[in-house]
Amino acid sequence: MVTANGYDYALERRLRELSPELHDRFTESVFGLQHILSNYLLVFPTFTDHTELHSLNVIDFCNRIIGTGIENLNADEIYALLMGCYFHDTGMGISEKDYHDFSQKIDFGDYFETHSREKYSDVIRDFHNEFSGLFLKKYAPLFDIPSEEHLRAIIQISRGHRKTDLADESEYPIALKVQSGNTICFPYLSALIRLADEIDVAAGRNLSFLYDLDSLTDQKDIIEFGKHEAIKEVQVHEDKFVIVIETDDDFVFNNIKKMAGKMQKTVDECRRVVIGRTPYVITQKSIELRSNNEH
Amino acid sequence: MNINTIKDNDKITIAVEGRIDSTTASEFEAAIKNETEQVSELVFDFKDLAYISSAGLRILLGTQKLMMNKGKMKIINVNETVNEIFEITGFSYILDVETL
Repeated sequence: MVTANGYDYALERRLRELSPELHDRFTESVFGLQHILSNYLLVFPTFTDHTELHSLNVIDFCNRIIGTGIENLNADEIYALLMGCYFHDTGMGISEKDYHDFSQKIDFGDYFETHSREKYSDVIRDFHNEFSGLFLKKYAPLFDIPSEEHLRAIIQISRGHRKTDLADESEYPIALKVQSGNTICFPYLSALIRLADEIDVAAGRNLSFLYDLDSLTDQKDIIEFGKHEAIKEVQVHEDKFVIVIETDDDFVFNNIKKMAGKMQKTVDECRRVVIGRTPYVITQKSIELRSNNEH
Repeated sequence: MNINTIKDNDKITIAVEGRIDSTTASEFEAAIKNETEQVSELVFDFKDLAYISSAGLRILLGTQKLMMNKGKMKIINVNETVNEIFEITGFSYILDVETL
């Protein structure tokens, strides 16, 4: 599946080759999803992009992380993964009514002992993976998802991009059988999105003509965009991720170093689950920073 | 990658030659930012576009979002290679595309 253009669009191509029918269902879903994903801007007008532009990046990083391993994925797994790449952040743009309905179904633990219930956007940001799962459950009929098993897979993979325990067999089975006879490996697909999402949220830069970066006032947003400006590229090699940086600012550099440490923990956690529980493998072991400046 | 622009009042045609990929995407993004400020009709002529990677596709979709508030956007003379990318990604349903 490696073409002259590397792993570009490998998942999409492979799905069309293995199952034109599932590929059609996927491409038809993209149309509706791009409208839904744009709703996050109503809640988070200055936040890092979470529209279908982010989904495209997540798919692209998945393609590169999987590499030649794509030959081991079946059509149902690829379909679930691609749909998960689009659905994982739908919880960021839910309506107020859905927020109230879904909130009744989420276990917030002791979260509200230290957080205000009034800060709607904070609650969504901190639990958006759970809101995405509930959104998908409610609106699944709009997306012509082929079976309950596929729906369960997409929900769990979307939820699994943050905070969930991928080692839990009841929530993340390693081989859920679907009608075609194929099985879907939940922990591997969830780990892929978790990793790809973390890389893109850390490194992905908003398009300069869509966002007014000079208008940012929130300190957290300013730090985030400072990092994005400094990160020129994230390379996915077979054995590691390389973050290429250009900045003279020690504050920005130290923040990127901290972020790289967090990313390394995600890499370790995803590898541990995938290698320990599944027949698959994530070959990238480490995060490397490559700076063109001295620090 | 080469970019040629033709302006006709509030309409602009951007013809792209070569590849839009991770190496050339920032140049493509900058050209759009510079050229589309006072434009209500944007046409991309992809007759000589050999390839568009995910990074380029992302810019194209972002541009469509921008133009939705200002007017319209169309992509013309799309060859088989680039059209296949629009089709496999599902963006042929979203973008206004005319093939060669």
